[in-house]
Parts: sequence; C-alpha cells; structure tokens
Amino acid sequence: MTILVLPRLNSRIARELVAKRWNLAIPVAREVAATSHQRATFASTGEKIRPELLGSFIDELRVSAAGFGYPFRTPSESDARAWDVAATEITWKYLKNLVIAEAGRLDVWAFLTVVACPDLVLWRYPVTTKDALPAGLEARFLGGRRNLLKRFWQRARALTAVGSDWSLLQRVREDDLVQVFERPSLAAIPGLAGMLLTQIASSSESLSARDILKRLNRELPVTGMYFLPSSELDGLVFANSEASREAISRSKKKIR
Amino acid sequence: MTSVLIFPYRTPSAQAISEPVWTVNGSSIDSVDLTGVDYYATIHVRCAIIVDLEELKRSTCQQISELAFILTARSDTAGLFSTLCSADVAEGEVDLGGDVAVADLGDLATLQVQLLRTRVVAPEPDSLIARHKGAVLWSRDEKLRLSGVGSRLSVRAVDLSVDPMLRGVLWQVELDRSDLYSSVSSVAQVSLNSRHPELIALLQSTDEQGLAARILRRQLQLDVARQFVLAAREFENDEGADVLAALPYDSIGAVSIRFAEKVRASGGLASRSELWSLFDSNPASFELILQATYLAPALETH
Repeated sequence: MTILVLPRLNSRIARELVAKRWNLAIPVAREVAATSHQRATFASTGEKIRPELLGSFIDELRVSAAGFGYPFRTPSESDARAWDVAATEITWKYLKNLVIAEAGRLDVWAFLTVVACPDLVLWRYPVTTKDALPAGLEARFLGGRRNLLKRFWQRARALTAVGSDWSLLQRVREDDLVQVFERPSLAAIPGLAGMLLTQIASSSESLSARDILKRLNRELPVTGMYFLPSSELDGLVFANSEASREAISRSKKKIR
Repeated sequence: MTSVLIFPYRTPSAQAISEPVWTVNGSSIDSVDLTGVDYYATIHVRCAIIVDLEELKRSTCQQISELAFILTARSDTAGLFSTLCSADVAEGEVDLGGDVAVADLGDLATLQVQLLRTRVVAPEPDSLIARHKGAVLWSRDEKLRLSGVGSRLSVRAVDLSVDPMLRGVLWQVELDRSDLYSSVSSVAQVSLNSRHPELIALLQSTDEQGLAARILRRQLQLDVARQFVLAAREFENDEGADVLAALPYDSIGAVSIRFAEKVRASGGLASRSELWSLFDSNPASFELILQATYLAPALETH
C-alpha cells in the first residue's frame, strides 16, 4: 500500500504568512498561491504528493468556484453552500486515500490553505474589515477543524462511512453541520456523524443537531459506542432524536 | 482540576481488576524504543490485567458471561477508534493484544481498555445494574506519543527498474541541492526498489543484530552521507561556511555543514579542504574512513 503524504507548514510560519496574506485582493492571492514552499516539510515515510496532482486539485476547486462567482463576485449564502458541496466532492476525489495520521495534522491543512489556495479562502470567507485580521478568518487558514479544506474532507469521510450521497450536505442546515463536526469525541465514532445527519435530513420535522448531540455526549462516557454495530448505533441515534423531538415539542407547548 | 466520572450503576471495586500493564512491541510502554516507527509500521499493543472474579461478580452484581474486555486505540489528532481485540472475563491474568497501523494513529494515540456489557439484559430486581449493551463498567487509558521518532529521511518503495539507468539498483538516494535553504525532509528522498521485496523486508526487520540488516543499513547510511557531504561542499563554495548561524536549523545547508563538520572531526582531518580532496580523489577511501570513524561507533551500539 502506498501512503500519500502532503507538505506540512508549521504553525509559526503559517501564522506569519496569514498575517501577510489575509488582506490581499483575491487575484493577488491567486498569484502568490503555489504548490510548494521553501519551508514546507514532509512525513518521514510515504509517497509525497506530486506537485502536478496538488495543482490539479486546487485548480479543480477554482474551476468549480468560478461557477459561483470566483474570483470577482462574493458568493451569496446559497452559492457558498452549493460550492461547499461541490468542493467536498472534489476534495474527496483527490484526498480519499489520505491516512488518518496525515489528515489529523494541523500543518498539513495549513499548507493547503495558506500556501496552495489562499485565494479560495478569501473568496469563500470575504473580509469585511481591513483593520485587523479577524480571528474567524485566521481559523479558516490554520489547520484546526474550521480550516476550509479540512471541513470538506471530514464531511466527505462521514458521508462515505454511511454510504450517503453528497446532496445530504444541502439538506441539513449549516449550523447542524457545524455542531456535528466540531465535536471530535463524537466524530471519532465511525459512521456516527453520517447517521446523525441522515436522521436530521430525513425527518419531516425540524430536528436540532445541537440538542441531539448534547444527549449523545452525555451517554458517551458510559457507553462504548465504538463497540456497537452500526444497526444498534443507528438505533441509539434514532432514540436520542426522538427524545429531542419530544422535549422540543413539550417546551413549545409550554411557551404557548 | 481532575474530574472523576461517576457511573450511574454498579462498577467493579478497586480490588476486582488490577491496574493494567501496557507493552508496545514487547517492551514496557515507558521504555519502548519507537525509533523505527513510521507510517508504514505496525505496532503491537498488549495489555495485561489481573481479575478477581468473585470480587468482580460481588461488586457489579453482573453475570460474567455478559461482560467482555475490549482493547482499542484512538488517534488523538484525527479522532478515530481502532478496535484491536476483545477477551472474555476470566479469573487471574487476562491478556489483550493486537496490531495497529501507525498510519491510523498519527502523532499521539490513546490506548484504552474497557470492561463492557456485551448484551442487553432483562430488568432485574437490582436497579443499579448496568443493562444496556455497550455500558462501560471500568476503563483505563494510556497515552502513546509517536511523533518525531521516525527516520529523518523520506523513504518510499517504488519500481526503479522503469528507469533504464537504474535497472538492477537496490535503492536510490536523492538530495535536491538546488535550494540549500529548504528543509531536509522536503528535499531528501530514499527510494527502495520495490522489485526487491527482500530488501524492504530486511530494512523493516526488527532483528537489529542480523548481519545482513546491519550491512544494508550501513550501505544506505553511506549513500546518504555522501549526499550530505556533497551538499555541504556545494554550499560552502557558494556562500561560505560562516552563514551557518543564519540558516534555518533544519535546512539542507545547515544540516549538511554540521554533518560534514562531524565527519571531518571524527576522521581526524585537519581541514575542510582535506575532506573535500579525499572525497574527490577516491570515493572508496572516503567511504572507508567514514565507516571506520563516524559510522562504526554508531553501529557498535546496536
């Protein structure tokens, strides 16, 4: 088996570059984008991604973004979400073989966004102030869970784990996606995130991922969820979704 | 502040299950040498606990047949569970062991052993008994750091025979010296010829004392050493050695110069030019000096 490894950019250098790049005009950011960097490093072992392949990946993201206004028009909320779905599929196409150890590294994702596609970050999350680097924008560049491309990879991995199609991402609210993927302890259970999103998307009533996740989180320390077969895990998600639905319904009645 | 988890049901008393003893690749987890660990490696994790069956039954009020120990490993950086093995609950020592790929763990991993309920049971008079499947009755964690212990150079296995110039070679060492400010790990590449799986097997062998493995590693080290010395010379020709302090520590320039200095000092050579001329005049004797001075002591420690 060949293990694909990506360039890494350590957090200090990544922050320095973000400080220089966050207020560039998008065409200028496109000009400075590159598939390599002098200070980039790689894992000790593995097959380094070919620069041409990395270039094709980023170019495909750009072509896709062009359909939603890149680089000159700021995307509307619906355009941004539609591009997210398309970009998730493209990201998976190129990086589905990324091993867990590599995908978990902050410096890998920091390289991809800070060096390879700063223009796409600035287009997807337009800057509203030029005074100081907004913390929210910095998080899209650095390698944490809000990194532009890491979000796509995580979402794709969750969907493929339950055999769902990409359209599921459009059938749930952005807030629900954020709730699901910003809880690493639950995201660690294979398939759980996908099952939860499927449950929310298929429900005729409005379900809140926030509330269901609170319930699942309470069960996590006392239940070995990784041990449960997918049918029983699905049952657990369903039971908690039902409990959440009933609780919300009761509280609505009280308010009336 | 440490948090204590209170289980909402009966759990084993402190006397029922001993604290686990963890080993990785046969060594205690505290002293384990993970020098050879990299993405292609698999580590063997073992956990041993001692169970007092009567005490376990008494304190949990559980049917032992409905419980099992589960050993898992979790990547802390990416968040993914790998279930390694399970074992029935029994009197005395319970051994759990399994293999896990480093590529599934990353830099930091959590090894975990838990006692779980394996199936749902009918309501019992004692309302404090854990009934749901997967209920955790007992749990212990151990952190395992894998970062920074792999080889410094990028190693891959490829079919080198597709290049007519390389047909028959066992490996190729490449060091891109075009930009000596670049980090070593981004410009160095050792390619093993996948047409020789016996070579790869030998390098991955844990038999450090084996003569064949030692010779092979020594030859690889020599090839790498030659590349570094060449880089150092090139850099000094261009820039002069005084810029060492200004170079990034992990850059190919800085690493090469430090390496060449070490070789020169070990060989008792008076000057850099002596080292360069030796290499120019006779690569074979350069290798012999390298083996006799710099590399031999390192090999003897194996």
